[in-house]
Amino acid sequence: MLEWLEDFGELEKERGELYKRHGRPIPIRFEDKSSGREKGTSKDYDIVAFSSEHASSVESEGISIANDAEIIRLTENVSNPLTISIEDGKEVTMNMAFIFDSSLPSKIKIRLGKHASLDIYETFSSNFSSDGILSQEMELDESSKLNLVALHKEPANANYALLSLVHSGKNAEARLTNVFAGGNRLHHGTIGVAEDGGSIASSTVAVAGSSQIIDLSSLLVNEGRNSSIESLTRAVVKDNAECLVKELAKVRQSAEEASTYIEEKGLLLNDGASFVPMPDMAVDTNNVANASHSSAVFPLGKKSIFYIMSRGVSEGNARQLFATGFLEKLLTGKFGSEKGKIMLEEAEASLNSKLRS
Amino acid sequence: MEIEVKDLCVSIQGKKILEHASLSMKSDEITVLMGPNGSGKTTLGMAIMGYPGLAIDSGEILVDGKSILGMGPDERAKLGIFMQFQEPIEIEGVNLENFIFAAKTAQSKVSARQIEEDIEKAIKILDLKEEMLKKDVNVGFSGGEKKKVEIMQMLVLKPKFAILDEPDSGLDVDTLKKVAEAINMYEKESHAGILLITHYTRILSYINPTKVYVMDKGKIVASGGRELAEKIEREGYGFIEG
Repeated sequence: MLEWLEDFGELEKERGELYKRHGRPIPIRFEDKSSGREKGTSKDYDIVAFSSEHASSVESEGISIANDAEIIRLTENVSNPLTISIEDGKEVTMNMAFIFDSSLPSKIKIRLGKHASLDIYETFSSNFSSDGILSQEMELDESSKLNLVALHKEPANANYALLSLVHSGKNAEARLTNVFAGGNRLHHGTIGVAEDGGSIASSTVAVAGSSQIIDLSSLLVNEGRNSSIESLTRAVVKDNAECLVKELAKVRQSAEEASTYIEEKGLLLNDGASFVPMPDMAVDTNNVANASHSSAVFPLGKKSIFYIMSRGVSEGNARQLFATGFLEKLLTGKFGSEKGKIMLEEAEASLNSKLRS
Repeated sequence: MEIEVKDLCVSIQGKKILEHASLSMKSDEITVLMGPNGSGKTTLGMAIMGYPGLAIDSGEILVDGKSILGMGPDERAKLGIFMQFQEPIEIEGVNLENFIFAAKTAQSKVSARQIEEDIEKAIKILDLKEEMLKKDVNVGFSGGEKKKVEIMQMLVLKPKFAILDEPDSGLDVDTLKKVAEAINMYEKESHAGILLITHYTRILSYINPTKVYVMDKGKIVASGGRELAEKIEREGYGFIEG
């Protein structure tokens, strides 16, 4: 565990209270459902990582590998993580495929040196009906910049738990975008800490369908002066799916002039779908620049669909138009580089495919 | 195109809204439907467009002699029916230009260049700002802008029959004049039929109706020509109860 996580006993207690108040809807237990898996992607990756050393061959996944790519088979031991380190002052853009082919826990560490910059585009998929457990630690040194975009397109029978730990050092910027377009049961926990002048901007985009449950929880801490935290979530929920978003923003006494903002919005495409936002905030300083949260649930009404259909658009396309428009807001501007643009197309295609299914 | 509403009875959640309403409208004509608030005018428009929240208890809606009751709103739009809404909904994340393209291409095969030209022309006619095309549909638009954008969609989609639900409400004089000019121009150029729903007569200073129907409590209670609208202007709706 990172040093900055050691002092989290009290916060964990608060989070425990939050869960107690609202109930904890999803146990850390996964059930296996078998159904067809998605076809592998065809894209050049700089790194391809498997969660087991006994993985099937790369070729069978339909993945083409860049000449200088690294293929990594993570061992069963969590203490032997995949580590991506960017030296002081270096700027790197890369993409990575991560394939869950084992239910054993895996770990990725990202380290950014002073003034370093990393644009990383991650695609998560699965070999078979495997459950997956992955933690990703991100440690940003002074004035470094991280732009991480993760596209989750695990097959509909995969259940997985993800933990993101991010520490934004002095004047460092962490921009995290998670796109959830696959899987069955998903639990994603985020713990983030921003030091003096440091910032964390997290955007989460999800489509939940069938009887899927997506459980998102965050603990976001303004630790230092002038630190900034923003967490935006948008989910489109359909069929009998559920999406729960529990976030606690904590502004420490030391975090004067800090700002923190949580926004949780859900669009329900039909009556059986459910979106439960639970934003929460604990501010320990009187001198805070901004501390606010908002949440909203929008059921897609007959009149809205009717309006679009009255222009000649079919009902299915009308629903999709609303849904993609609703999600697009959080995707805009997150995919600057060439690799990012490819990723955006892939993300939009995956989201659309799930919306149509 | 000829639209006949025959003996139509419509209810919403068991409450009767339209009771044996009958009227007929056709291309090259401007039909005005007037009546006090809550008389069922909008419901009639929505019934023609196919709003699924309405229960059609009895009666018929015929287009060129064929029933459209079994058709969805998208199919009716493809037949050439258009409705301008009093309160058009906001579509976050979808810009107006893309929306119009999606609608136009859903209805007919037409080149992108042609759509662009039609949009450009409509913007000029209605004196709209071009940057509105890049904004999300109806998000942050003023009341007047919403009305104009609805009429702009009519000009680009080029329906054979347009139901205009209170295109005049909440507009200042200049905007009202602009909207009325666009309606007149479209009717003359396309020979489309228009059903203009209103409870004020002021738009009729700019638009010359072929027929006027008056609706009250879900029934057509009077019909006539322009003189009927003038009577309403002078006497209000009091005479329909007499």
